Amino acid sequence: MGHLEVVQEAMRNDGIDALLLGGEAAGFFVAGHTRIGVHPGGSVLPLTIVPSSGLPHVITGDPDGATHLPEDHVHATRWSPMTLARDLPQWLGGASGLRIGVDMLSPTAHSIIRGALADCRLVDATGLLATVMLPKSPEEIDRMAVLCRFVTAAAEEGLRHGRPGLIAALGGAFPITFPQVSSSAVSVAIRRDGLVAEARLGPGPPSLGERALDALVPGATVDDVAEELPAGVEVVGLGWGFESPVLRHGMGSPSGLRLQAGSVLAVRWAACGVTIALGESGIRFLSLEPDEVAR
Amino acid sequence: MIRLDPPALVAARSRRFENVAGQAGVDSWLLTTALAVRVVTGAWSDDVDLSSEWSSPIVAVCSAVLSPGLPPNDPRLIDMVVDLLPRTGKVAVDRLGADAYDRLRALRPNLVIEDVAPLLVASNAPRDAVEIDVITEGHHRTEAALAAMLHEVREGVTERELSRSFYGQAEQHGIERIHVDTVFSVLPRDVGDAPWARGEWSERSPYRELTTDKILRQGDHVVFDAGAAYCGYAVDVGWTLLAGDGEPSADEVALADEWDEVAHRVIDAATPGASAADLRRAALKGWDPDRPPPWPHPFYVAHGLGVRPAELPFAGTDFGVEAEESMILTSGQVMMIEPYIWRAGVGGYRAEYCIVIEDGGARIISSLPYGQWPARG
Repeated sequence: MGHLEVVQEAMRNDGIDALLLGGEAAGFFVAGHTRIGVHPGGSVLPLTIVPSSGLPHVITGDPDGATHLPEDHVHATRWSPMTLARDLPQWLGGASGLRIGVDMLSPTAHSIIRGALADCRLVDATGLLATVMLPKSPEEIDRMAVLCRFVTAAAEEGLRHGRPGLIAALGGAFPITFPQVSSSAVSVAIRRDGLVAEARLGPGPPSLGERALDALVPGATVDDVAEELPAGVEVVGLGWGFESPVLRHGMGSPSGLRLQAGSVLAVRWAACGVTIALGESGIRFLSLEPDEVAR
Repeated sequence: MIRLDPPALVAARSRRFENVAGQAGVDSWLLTTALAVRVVTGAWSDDVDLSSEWSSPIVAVCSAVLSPGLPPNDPRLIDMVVDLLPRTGKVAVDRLGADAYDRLRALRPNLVIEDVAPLLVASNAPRDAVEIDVITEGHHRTEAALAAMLHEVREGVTERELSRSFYGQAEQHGIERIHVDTVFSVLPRDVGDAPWARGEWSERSPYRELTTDKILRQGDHVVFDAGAAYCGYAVDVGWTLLAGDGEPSADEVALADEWDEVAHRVIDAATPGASAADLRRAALKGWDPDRPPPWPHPFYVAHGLGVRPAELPFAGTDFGVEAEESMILTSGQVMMIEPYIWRAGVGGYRAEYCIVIEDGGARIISSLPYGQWPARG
């Protein structure tokens, strides 16, 4: 199944009639279009509308990134919440009493959704999205490995030649975090062709990362894993952006999520970090290993 | 690590915001987007991701700024910060997950949740001189970075390679951050070059702004648009570049001239008390109604600029004329003026003037000769 089918099956299982999403990673994942919002930070209004069957609707300033969708599913940026409210019922077939899954939206977004879709009920889609987005396909993991090697090589240039060296080595790839470069450490993350990768090279005891990796096993809840992580270690999902789970300060989010084979995770400690893919019988390093990223 | 903007910049913004909040009866705020946190508190973090500002957020709860570890869609975030919120009154929020809203309502049942967006809009202006100085400096540095790499816009290079060169120049010119994937995009010369110009775009001038590995050809029109930041303030620099060493044709010169005429009509209309609708009308004054409006769909012919890269007032968007009538320009407001002119068979031209609204009219702070094609050498 493709991403859309996986999401829609999960929606049916959870009794969700539609998803209204502002987040970039989920939008990339389910609708497959390039650059959803022009400006940074995701959107506090929904930009990706996913019905329980049929194709998604996307709202974008960049229709050239959505040519795989039919033209009546690609919509120009709705700067005005009122315009969005006008169009939502049509995109969702005009039904009433829908159970709508949402991610992080503004109070205005909640208000216009409730006003536009009669008798709808808004529910949190965090758990659904986290579960379906967590396992990557072997092909996606291979692509992320290639990207990880690329960004690691750029980080090595950063260590050797400072920020100018890092930026030149990134080859115009867009950094999705602000590159941090010192004489002893580099941290950088980029997006290319929809997927993200990060590199963190710097001082840090490899044993800390190795102990953290021992705790990452398919089937474990993020809550249990977070409690087992050594102090100072954090784990963040990677894929079409920074994704669930987030394990930090002894807490795992979203609570109750279970790690799965195919999960791609950034494991960070001190100034360094590795990226791994979980398998049923062990982990695959997409980045360098702990003793190699520790400088 | 959480960092703070210079006190003079923060003081100007927080004074305006707190005045507006007070007038609206809002006594507290809970903010989880990086830009809103920075506008109101001056706090920012290198760890925030541009993808969704989600995995390592910083959160402002009134005057406190925290790095909570939990993303803003986790309801436990509310438990962590609730003691910083009052029990009654109004709290302004930018975004939360649905369960987090429910948790906030459960823990503070007598606290009314409102959207912070109108408060941020109302506190955009008038900007202090120190803010305008920073915005001006940021634009001049970014324009210098672009000027330093113009000779690289030639046949055989890719759009992405131009981004690489620009990022390097931006670094050398002291640009703090690039927050938008910098646009170097070959503009379509004919509708047939733009298969995406369909549906809601079918009656508009074809345009594109996704940077790809497309290889430039001699004479291509390459639109450039940089979203950068300097001292926390957004920088928006745009121009259209001519690939190669050739001179622009008479038709291409006319394209740029027409752009400049539209831009200056809008700038002339940008006076204190004018509305965004006045700017739209100025852009369309004398415009052939059979041609698409002279700005790219679904964007604007003019927009405000501050810490946030595009803020109200907007002229030309789906807000429409009626809403634009209520978006009133004030002295001390910074705006971008960015028409787009396209003619079939000739191509497209877009650039951006940054202006400051002053009592005597608008003052252009941009330093490059927009309305012309860039000169080489």
